[in-house]
Amino acid sequence: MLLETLTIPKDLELERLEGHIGDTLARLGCDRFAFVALRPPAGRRQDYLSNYPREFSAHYLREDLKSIDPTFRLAFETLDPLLWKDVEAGVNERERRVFHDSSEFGLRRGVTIPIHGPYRVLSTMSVSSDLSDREFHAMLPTVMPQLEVFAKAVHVHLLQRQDFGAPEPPPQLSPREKDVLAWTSAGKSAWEISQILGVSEKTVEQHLANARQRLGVFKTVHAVIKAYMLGLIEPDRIEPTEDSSLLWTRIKPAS
Amino acid sequence: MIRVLTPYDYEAYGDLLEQMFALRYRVFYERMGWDVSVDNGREIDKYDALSPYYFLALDERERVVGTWRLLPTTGPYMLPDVFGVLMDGEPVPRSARIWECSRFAVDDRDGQRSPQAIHRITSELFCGLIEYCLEVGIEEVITVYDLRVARLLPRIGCQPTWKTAVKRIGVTAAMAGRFAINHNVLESCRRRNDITGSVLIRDQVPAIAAE
Repeated sequence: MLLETLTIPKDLELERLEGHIGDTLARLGCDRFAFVALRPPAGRRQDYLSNYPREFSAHYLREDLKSIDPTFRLAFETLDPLLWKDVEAGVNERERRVFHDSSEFGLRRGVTIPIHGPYRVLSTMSVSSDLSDREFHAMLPTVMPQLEVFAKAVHVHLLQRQDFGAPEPPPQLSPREKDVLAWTSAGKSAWEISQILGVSEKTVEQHLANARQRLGVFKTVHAVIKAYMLGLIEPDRIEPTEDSSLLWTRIKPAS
Repeated sequence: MIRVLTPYDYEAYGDLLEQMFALRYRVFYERMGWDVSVDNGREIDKYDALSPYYFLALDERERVVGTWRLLPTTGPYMLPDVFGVLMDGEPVPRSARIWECSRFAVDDRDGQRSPQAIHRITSELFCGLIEYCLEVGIEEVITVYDLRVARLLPRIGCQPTWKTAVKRIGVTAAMAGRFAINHNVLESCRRRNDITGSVLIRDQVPAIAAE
């Protein structure tokens, strides 16, 4: 089989990438595609690249069809390509809507290829074809190896790009805000932290309030979790402040 | 001898590609008067933008003297898009193992080339095509051809396994035919044309020095 043209030039701009992928897939009998980084690597956010009709993408996002899209549900569970025809046969009433709405926009027959990477990374590449049902399903087995190789190439390429799935810059916390969150994660109350850091309890509460605001959350527990996931604090690496023996003595409950 | 250019070879063999487009201009536009899109002495169409494979017959001085173009039937190709009328409503093949050849041309240098030389170029183009398809796993080729090529086929030793009725298209009468690719076909095509071995030019891969 001929695999020579299934690569992606490294230095292609993102705007031209969609066209390049579209052209390659057109030669494999597929007219539309949507690549979705469903469970991206740590530190990246979900993102997608597609040449689906613009109105359909808008509709899909607006109606949150992703949350009921059965191809995503199934992609978590299998390495095998998901033929839409087969998926549709096994969907529930809620999920059926995804197929109904897709076909309204001309996306009638296709296949979704799950790409499972190391560290539970998961992407999908869905392709759809304007060929007749019979033509498409007769052709598909002959192009499936190429489609799978190409899906992997797209996955590897996109996840290496800085302009795809790049996270928003994380909120910045002051050293004191990090301190109070770190001590909170170690189970200390505001009063205890005030004793450890040698400041007033009010000041600690103010630092916590600022940290919650900067992280865009309402609860301190949420703030701690979020700061941890963003790598802003490392709970198991609380540096003892100077004179720590004294501090630890001070926060011990009176015996 | 035949040089096959894959899309990856375009850059390294740009001069051969240019010669091929110029050859097609002379053959299809000037000599045969086909309604083809030309640009500055080159015949080039939208199928050339789809990364086709080109078969180039080269003479002893590495000049392009004949050509074929190959596209997979999975993507856009000429039979359904341009010559759909030939199919009479029948579905066209769609398979990664069936490719379409088009733009078959041999340059006769205004009649200066001998019939023997032309026959040699033609038979090398056919044998090279079959040989290459066998190697890469193409099981069948489909092509739209005119009466001129149809008359050539028995002499070359290639017969379609299936063909459409002949229809008038522009200035020519054409039909579509499917040709099986297998070792028997290669063998008989070689035997009939006195070709004893491979006609494909293969780039030398430097040998790894023995320890």
